[in-house]
Amino acid sequence: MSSLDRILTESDAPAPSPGFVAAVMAAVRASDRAPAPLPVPWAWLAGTAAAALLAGVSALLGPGDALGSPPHLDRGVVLALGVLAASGLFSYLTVEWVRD
Amino acid sequence: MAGDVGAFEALVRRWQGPVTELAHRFCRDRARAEDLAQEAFVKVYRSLAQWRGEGRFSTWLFAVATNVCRSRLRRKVLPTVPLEALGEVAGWRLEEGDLEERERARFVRDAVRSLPERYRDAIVLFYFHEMDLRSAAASLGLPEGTVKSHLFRGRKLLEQHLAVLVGGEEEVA
Repeated sequence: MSSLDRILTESDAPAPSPGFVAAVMAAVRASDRAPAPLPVPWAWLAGTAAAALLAGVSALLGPGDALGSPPHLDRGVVLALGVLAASGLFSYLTVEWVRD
Repeated sequence: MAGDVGAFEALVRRWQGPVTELAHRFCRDRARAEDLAQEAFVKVYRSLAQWRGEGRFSTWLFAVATNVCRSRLRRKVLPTVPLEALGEVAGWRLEEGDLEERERARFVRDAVRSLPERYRDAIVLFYFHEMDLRSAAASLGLPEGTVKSHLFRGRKLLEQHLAVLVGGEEEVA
């Protein structure tokens, strides 16, 4: 065993304080009383993201307006779906952040 | 055991030492280590129903504790001294002849915290598990080969910068 191994294998961690177990159990009981975490709306998020993606692809690949025809999908709809998807993601991240 | 607070208290008593030691190896601060260990135990309690009973309980417990430590340290950067500076200071102290064995060891352990995250984690877990690569990989949720490579590079960095304290290069694991 090298001197590096010897030094790093040995622990210099102090023993937990006498009140450690009591503090942990108080936190455990408090967590028992806390309301259940908000469920993550994965299905809703996935649906929104898929719709936004589909709208984006349709707008890009659909018949263009070179001949003066309207775009395949109104750009306002694309924008609205994008905003919806972004707000969904933002609200999810906010909830996660606050919960931590 | 999920929901059985009494049984869980026995479990906390049994594992408080190792979990606090693991956290201390990450942060090198007693109060913070206890905070991290407490958070890990609460997380374990809340997830007990999800534990499928496959493998050893301690493997799962250390994996949860490792995740808590890594994610908390990622969010709150603790002050560290660059490896180069640690090496220089250690060199001066050695020349002056006032570096005791215990202090020398502390220098090396502090230097581990200054390593890039992936190397630090591999070294912390490898030595916490008494040089058992498989257990370290299980706690980190990484393949053994990856942990071995991180371990090799992390040790190399330590040996480069702290050669005066730990001697030359030697074979890893």
